Amino acid sequence: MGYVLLTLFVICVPFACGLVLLPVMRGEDKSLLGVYLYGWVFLLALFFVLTVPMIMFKRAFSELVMLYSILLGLASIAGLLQFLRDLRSKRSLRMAICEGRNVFFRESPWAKLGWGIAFLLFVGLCVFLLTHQYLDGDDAYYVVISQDAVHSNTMYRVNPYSGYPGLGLEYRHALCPMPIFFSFLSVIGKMSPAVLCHNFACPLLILLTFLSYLLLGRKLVKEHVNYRSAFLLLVMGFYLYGMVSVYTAERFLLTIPWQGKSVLANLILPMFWVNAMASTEENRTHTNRVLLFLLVLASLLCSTTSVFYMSVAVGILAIVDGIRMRRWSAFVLTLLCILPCVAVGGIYLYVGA
Amino acid sequence: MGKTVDMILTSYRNFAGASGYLFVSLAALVFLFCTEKNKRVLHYFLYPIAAIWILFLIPLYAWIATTVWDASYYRMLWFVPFAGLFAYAGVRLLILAEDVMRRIAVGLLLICLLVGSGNLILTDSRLTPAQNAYHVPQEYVDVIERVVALDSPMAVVVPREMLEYVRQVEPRLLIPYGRDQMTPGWHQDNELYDAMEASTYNEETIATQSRLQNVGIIVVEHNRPRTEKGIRFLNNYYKLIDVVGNYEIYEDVFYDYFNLDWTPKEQPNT
Repeated sequence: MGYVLLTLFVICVPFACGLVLLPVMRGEDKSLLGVYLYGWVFLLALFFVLTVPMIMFKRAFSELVMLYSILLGLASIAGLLQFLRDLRSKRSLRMAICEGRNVFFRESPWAKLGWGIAFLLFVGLCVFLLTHQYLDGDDAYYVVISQDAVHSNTMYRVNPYSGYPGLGLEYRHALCPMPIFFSFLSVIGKMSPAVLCHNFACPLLILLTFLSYLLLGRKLVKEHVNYRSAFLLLVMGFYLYGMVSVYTAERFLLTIPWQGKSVLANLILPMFWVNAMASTEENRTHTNRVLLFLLVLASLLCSTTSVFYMSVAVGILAIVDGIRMRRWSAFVLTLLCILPCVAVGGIYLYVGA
Repeated sequence: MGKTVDMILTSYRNFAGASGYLFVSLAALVFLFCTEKNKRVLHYFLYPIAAIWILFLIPLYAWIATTVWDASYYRMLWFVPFAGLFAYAGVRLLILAEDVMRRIAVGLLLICLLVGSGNLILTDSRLTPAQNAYHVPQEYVDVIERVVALDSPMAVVVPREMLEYVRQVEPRLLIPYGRDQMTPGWHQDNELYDAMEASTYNEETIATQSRLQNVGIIVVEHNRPRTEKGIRFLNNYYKLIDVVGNYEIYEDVFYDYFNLDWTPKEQPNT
């Protein structure tokens, strides 16, 4: 029953919440895939905004669950209303979905064979990883943080290694509370966070990674629809053969996908490039910057690494914007998206270091 | 300066090992720069990726990044979408191939590049068949479940190999030290840990230190040599509860008599 509830949650809620973002979606983003993936970005960004202050003010985990559930409910309702409103627009999501379906039926038999192989590869990979274990020492921290939140109803107040109350808040990890998100999912699914991370989260995060690359591929090979499945197959092949060291994003995804670092490297960063490529349709607009801002927030949930490196990456995009549009304002407006990084960095350096 | 350059090279080597992973990605980037006609793809995909690569190699930037923020410099390379880059270059090669035979040849070339430059994750020796839903060795789960069944408020001390898994399986259990004790830099002097990890168990020391550290349940390896097996534990009122696999579980049967305060004490986070 828990698995059924969780499956319904991870399919329906991100999609409904993604609909809220319809007014700021353009081009390929405004599709079933784009709405679903940006829905996830919205979910993670909202969770970050809500969780960090609650951790700092020592609020209970159950309060967070209640508040976040209410907000998700409201966002879902707003999303559905937005969808109804969008039906009247010139290029509605409904039209984009019909278009996408037509494109699929027009694809060559080779391309369809590619989709079939990709699907079988994905299923095989998930079955293999669910029936195999990878013993990673970091789970003694991240998975146990999730366990402790559910068990002690506190967040980052227990020393995960020993179970004794922690002496002060450990800011480096508390400012990127991805494990608490898995605690939340475990409450939805009524299962132990350890079981959730090692089982349910594994195929979910692999699926999200490949979908985000698929969206990127759709933007890159826009004119050659027959090559989309080839793009996805090559991405999957690259991931399968990506175990060249313990540091690659590919290794993180296929061994410990539930850790925040892996979510950053395999979901948020491909989505960052999806967002950057939104500018291929038109010059970057405010609407596109809203999505970039959400991505920055979601990246902060995953790892403190993003505080510095995400700022640099957004900075590079801002420079490209400034040069392309030949306007200082374009540079500054894109650069404003790093404000959450500055805030979190400031808190860490001031309070936590 | 020299140290920073060394750090950059070490990060690069650690990230890619001796594989052709980064070489293939750089080749893909160069190929795309040569063939890409779409200026917007160039501006928002290829130039930023090249900029990230160049920044990664600049010592001043590396010094700032590691000093101000993150010591894990290799994570900068996560911002390069290697898989997307490789796949896009592959697709462009396929598009450039004019007939079916050439496309098949390109496809085979791409497969050879993948197989030759990377390692198949599924063959990694650390991926072993899962024994339960926790993805933790079953023997450890059996021991932990036996300890939980005692329903004791006391902390439990376990051998080193089980430290990482106890609280993943059962967060209610308290342990006097955790994985941090095994990690260089976080290790603190702890006589109980030293006694538990000695090649020969000294039961007297383990029993005494356990009581000093409010540990009421002791899990020791059944086969490890020890001074007067079981006797010293018994003399210190630790009773053998069960033997699960290769582990003996002892419980302090007089913990009420000693009237110890079992309230968890605060511990510093590491």
